[in-house]
Amino acid sequence: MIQVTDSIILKPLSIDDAETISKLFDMEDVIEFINSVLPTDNKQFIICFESEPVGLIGFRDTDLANMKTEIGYWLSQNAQGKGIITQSATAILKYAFDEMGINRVQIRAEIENIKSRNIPERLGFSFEGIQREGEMSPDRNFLNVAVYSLLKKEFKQKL
Amino acid sequence: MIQVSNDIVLNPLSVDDIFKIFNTLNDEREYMREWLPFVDTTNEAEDTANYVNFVLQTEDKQFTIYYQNKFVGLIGFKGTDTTNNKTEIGYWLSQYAQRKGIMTQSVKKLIELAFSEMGMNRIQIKVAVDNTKSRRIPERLGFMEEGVERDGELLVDNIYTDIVVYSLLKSEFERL
Repeated sequence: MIQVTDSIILKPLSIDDAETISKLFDMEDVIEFINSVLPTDNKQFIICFESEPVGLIGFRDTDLANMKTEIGYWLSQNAQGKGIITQSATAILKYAFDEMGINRVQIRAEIENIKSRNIPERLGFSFEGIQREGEMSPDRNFLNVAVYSLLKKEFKQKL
Repeated sequence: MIQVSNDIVLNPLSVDDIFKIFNTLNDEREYMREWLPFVDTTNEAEDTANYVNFVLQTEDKQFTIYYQNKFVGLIGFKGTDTTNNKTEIGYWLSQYAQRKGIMTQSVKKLIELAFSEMGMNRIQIKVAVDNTKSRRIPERLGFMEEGVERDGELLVDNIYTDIVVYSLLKSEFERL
């Protein structure tokens, strides 16, 4: 468990959270998702705001040979605009650089998703480029994805 | 088996290739390690066997490259993502088989395979910024340079290198 602020807590995802997640995300195959991430280096956390689960934040494609990882996040609509993801991401960055020994953290966001892009921009990430047609939308259109990164030495400088 | 040209053949990777791959990496250790840091931790054939067995379990098809019936290198897909229809191509070639266009022609063949048979929409190639020889492959094949992944790879002697990210989309390939 990571205490981010008085009101924000990150709880490591476990199989007991299946019901919570499926309610939050309207997501099928939740147990499959949880079982697929639990044995990997891609730790996931449930974001709790004032004791209520409101979102998910975690790592993907963690590559310990090259000491790099990516952060992904999702927040319930009702919990937007309170700085919850920005503060949670800061705590996760600290965890990645200090506990996991990571050197590079990447954040990718669809180019039109301004709310999501604001997170790495606010956290001092560098914009590296656009991954063309890097993701497919639910209606099967290819989307361009902005790629941001923060290096360990840059994170240290900010503290 | 894929016949690339009269001289070049690609064979799907199998456990029978372990010794050929290991012996090439081992014989050319000094040459290979500059851009392939895993060479330093490949000390016996068993290390290559672990890699081959791992790859054979994934969705990522790999091929051995033969030039005039001699094993000269490896090429294949990595991180194939069938949700977003994208993949990456990686490759290495023996120092004795360089400058014959073997890799350019082999990559071209895999591009055709990815777009025409695997249903891919995007192919990525990532190369360390200073690896000029390797960068020429995507550049020659009309890939677009998208940006630089800072500290994207840890090379030998614990030095991070920036990586250039190239991509080719199916729509561009059809225009070639």
